[in-house]
Amino acid sequence: MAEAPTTLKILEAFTGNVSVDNMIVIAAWTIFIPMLAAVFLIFWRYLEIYKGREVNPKFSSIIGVGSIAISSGLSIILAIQYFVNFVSGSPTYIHGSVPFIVGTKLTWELMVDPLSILMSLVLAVIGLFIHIYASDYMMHGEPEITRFFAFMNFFTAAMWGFVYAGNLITSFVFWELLGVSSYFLIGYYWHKASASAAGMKAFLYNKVGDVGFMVGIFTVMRLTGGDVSYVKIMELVHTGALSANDFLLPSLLIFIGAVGKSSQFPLFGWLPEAMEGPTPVSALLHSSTMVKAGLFLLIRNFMTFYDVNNFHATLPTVSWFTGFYLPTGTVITWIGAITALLGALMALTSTDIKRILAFSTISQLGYIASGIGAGATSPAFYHIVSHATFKSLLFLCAGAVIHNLHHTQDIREMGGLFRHMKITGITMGIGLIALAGIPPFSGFWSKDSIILGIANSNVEGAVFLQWLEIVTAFITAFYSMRMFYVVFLGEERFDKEKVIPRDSSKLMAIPLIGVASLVILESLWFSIGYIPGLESLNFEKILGDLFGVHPSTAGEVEGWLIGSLFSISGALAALLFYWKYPDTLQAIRQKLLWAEDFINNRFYVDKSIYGFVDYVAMPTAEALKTFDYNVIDKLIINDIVFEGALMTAEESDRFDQNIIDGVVNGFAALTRSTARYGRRLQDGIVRNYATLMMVSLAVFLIAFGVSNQLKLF
Amino acid sequence: MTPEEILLNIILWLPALMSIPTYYAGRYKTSFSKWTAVGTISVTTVLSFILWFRDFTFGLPSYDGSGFLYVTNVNWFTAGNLTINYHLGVDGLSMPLVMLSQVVFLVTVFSSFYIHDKEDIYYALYLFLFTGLIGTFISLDLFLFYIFWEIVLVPMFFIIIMWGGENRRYAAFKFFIYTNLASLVMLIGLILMYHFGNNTFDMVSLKANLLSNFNAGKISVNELSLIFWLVFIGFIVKFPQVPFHTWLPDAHVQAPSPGSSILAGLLLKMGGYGLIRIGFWLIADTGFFTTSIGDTSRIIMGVIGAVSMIYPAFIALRQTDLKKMIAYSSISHMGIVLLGLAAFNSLGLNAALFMMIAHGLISPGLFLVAGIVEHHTKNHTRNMDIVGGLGHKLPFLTALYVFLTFASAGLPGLAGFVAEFLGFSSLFTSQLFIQPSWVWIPIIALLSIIVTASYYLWAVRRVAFGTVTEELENAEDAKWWESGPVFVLALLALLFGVLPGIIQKIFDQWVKLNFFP
Repeated sequence: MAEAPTTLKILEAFTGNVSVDNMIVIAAWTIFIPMLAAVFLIFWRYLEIYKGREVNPKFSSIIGVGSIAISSGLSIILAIQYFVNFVSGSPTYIHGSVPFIVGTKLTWELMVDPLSILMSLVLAVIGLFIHIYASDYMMHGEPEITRFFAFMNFFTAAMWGFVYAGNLITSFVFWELLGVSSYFLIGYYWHKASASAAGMKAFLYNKVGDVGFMVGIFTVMRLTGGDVSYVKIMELVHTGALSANDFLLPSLLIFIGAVGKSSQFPLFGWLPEAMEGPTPVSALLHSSTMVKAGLFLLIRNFMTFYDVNNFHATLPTVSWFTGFYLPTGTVITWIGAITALLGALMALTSTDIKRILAFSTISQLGYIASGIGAGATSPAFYHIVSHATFKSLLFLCAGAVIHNLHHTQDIREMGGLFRHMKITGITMGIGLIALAGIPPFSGFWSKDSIILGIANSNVEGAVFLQWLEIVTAFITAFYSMRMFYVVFLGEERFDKEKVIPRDSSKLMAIPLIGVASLVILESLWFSIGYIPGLESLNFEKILGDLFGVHPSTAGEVEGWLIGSLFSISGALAALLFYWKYPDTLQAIRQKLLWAEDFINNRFYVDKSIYGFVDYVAMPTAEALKTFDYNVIDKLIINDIVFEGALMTAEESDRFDQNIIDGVVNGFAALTRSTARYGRRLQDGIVRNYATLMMVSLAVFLIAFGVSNQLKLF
Repeated sequence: MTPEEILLNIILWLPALMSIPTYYAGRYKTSFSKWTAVGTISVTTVLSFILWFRDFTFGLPSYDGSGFLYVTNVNWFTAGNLTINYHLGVDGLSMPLVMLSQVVFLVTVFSSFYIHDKEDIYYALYLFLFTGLIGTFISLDLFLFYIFWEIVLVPMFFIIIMWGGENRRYAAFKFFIYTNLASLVMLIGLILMYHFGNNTFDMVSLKANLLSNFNAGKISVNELSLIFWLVFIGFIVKFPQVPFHTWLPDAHVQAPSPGSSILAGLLLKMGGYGLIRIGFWLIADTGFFTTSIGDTSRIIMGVIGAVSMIYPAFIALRQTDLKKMIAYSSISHMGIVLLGLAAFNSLGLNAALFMMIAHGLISPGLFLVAGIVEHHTKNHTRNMDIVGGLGHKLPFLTALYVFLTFASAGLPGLAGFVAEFLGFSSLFTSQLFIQPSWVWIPIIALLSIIVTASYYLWAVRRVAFGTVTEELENAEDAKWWESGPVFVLALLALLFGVLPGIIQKIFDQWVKLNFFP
């Protein structure tokens, strides 16, 4: 371990021991650079406002994109350093910390391990592309570009911090920073009521999850005696001081956090609303930052809490009745699978191009969560990577479409765009095929490995869930192709007089083509790995080796066959229906209107939450307010205590004058002054009340004098 | 006397002494009084920072045998067998609060610049109030403590009644009588302490005497419990916690915004300080809080704390007055202090102490924002239903407002979070509150986080965002002396959020020295 750098030595003088490795310093700068850029932009903006000017948009976009570019470079350098120096069978954990809360084991700790490096690489590539795209997208008449880039940088920095976090408290801090920066980005058009409402909704839904996460941290602290460092917990698990059963409650509580952040059932309502933000925000939020944070946290904690190599061995030994274990894994898998199905159904009926993508994100996140719950952490991460790529591509394409159609998001007002927007059409087609899970595209391989992981696990109802997800894959393929057909093929339904669709400018096309080629490259890489003899290139296996997880591959080939059968037939069905038999489709739809209505109301999940707020929480608040004003304050304090005191004073004054009149002693004088004070409360001559302090002092002196002299006590 | 002791005495008395010249300077030329006040507070701030940098910044302070620094201990007067000492000193509990008072007074003196009515009296009272507050924090004699404690009420009373809002008379009297009645209850407790502690008011000897008397069987646990609950009631009114909280919304709302800031930032901390110093520090050595009666007391405190967190949070949700909402949120946040004390472990005491600093920085900022909103609206209103789109007119101040909102709602990286996290973790790691029959207490308190976020964000949405309403149509941007103080408080909230160790290492050391070695 290298010596701590000088800057940290200075810190040491204030707060105590600092232990940091060279790689950790790189990781720290990866986080700091965009964060400092964000702070700089914000202050620069207010300085310019103060001078009565607007910040030059070019300047802010250069700072915004530049800082992300530097950090992306740093994370690639870090990855190279790590893999050059530490190639070995089991993962190496490099971690370093600076003090946070003194006297506890809560520190600012960063950790570099394969999981964080891979996630950081995904973020570096996708984040950079999205920032480049945004630097052009936002140039056309969008207000306050400086604020936009400041929060985009902050958002990305928070995600980097979350990825590199080395203990639960650091994770939690960056987790919340992700939440708050998403709040500002979703509510970017803050003068619009719907945007600020959407931001608030996102933040509050996340907050519910955060409380679960927080309690999860506390339960871990109880187990480990206050230690929340991932490496320390891993040590405790490996030495057998703590067993998997101990972590059942913590991981379930932390899953609540992931439910909020990764928009699982029943807290998925905020994600579609989050579309209120500018499209680059949606792209970033859906691909590699916000929603992936929840899943990343789950993977991180599963790999920390449980001995991953024995994961499958421990899974079946505990039943519903003897321990918590099975429910934890099972609950996560079930909720994930349910979310996958509900998301796909909502995407099927939606007509807003961005919402379709949002619902499909919910659905794909459900897949990933269910994989993690079944212990298939490496397949889950596999799908995180492929989903991050094709989903960011889809959003960038959707952004280009919306941009060129003058901010129309309704797919029914599109159609036939392919001949006008070839680049967008082709790239979006690639993204949708990947999403649909058509072999040999990336989405197919990763999705199938998750389904296989569930099938081979021992969660309750694994077979049912496996088939549920296969059916969901059919629906996924169907809605993907439906979207492609309705937007790019068929008749042209857009307003031809106002809109001339064309491909976007170069600066926006570069990220499209770039990310699309990434999808293609990924697909190629993923596919090659399954060719016999080239197993060493298999990305899934590489991930498994890096994480030290080796899920069973039994039934792999059957899984591929069934999976491709369902997804291809789903895709073909969609194309066939929309192209050849629209009338039949319409007839089917007419019969299922009730179902469509149910789906469009989002299964009344959101409505129930709103109902709870409107009919339970708010009336409670109102009742408590009334109680506080009228009972505690008015009745008890004013009417009983104060009025009572006044009446006592009046009475004693009368008693004093009528009965003990003439008897002059200290006690009577005191009573009289109290009485006078009470009587004058109504006429409010201010001066006299300053004397109350003196009265108190007199009481004090007399009281101790009496107690002392008479030995009362 | 060493130079440091002299400095401490100067910090204490200079403002009170300067209040007279301030008044006469104001008679001569109105604006003189405000600059005299600024000068005086600046001087004491510089002096305090000299002490702070000397002993508290680098490394840890080393206290003398009695556990204090800069001790002044001379006989003040003797009456019979009653000896009252002029005994001052600071330790890890009081010094951060002294620094907090400096900061809050320094920023609020600038935000008082909008006051043009009877400036001379205002700044004189203001300086006088400062001496009372510092005196409360640094006196080590219960008699002296009580005098300072009562002195604080007087200038605050006049500040509310002379520069307050519409309903100021009612609020001022309520504040005065309420806290005074509580002081009387506390006084009985203090006298009992005097009696059981071998007839002394000196805190250091009282602490030792109570311990030895307890060990010798001269005090029973029941008697200790009686003392504790008497002083508890005395201090809990100042805190304030449910059900003794109703003076606070009135007083805070009616006071002028610098007054509200001082009320929320410092006067509430007097309650916290008093409870920790007298309710805990003086008697904890006897092991009272780990007896079964002590456990019961802690459960009751836990219940009060948890109810005080969630109940005012719900009430804040239904407020339309921005300032009143912040006032209720103050009650809610002070609940953490009580909960941390109830947990009675190292984490909990750290949480209680840190919350006093965090809340002491954040809530004054929010009150100042509410005041600025009031001054910039057409009809001088803070009604959130009719004030909207602040961001268009006062952009920088709105940014600060949103920042402080998140700081108060416990966003990590800002000061409020550290206290909140420590507080909840102390409850969840204490043996008492994790028992199945009591675990609902921390859970209820924890749920208040969601309610807190709701009312804060809803307020931000109504006040800061959206389109400009009629009330703000002609509003001008905030002046430097309006947003400057808020900016300073926001910066400090950030500093203590990222590196809480700067101040919390002192708390931690103090807790280790006095409670949990």
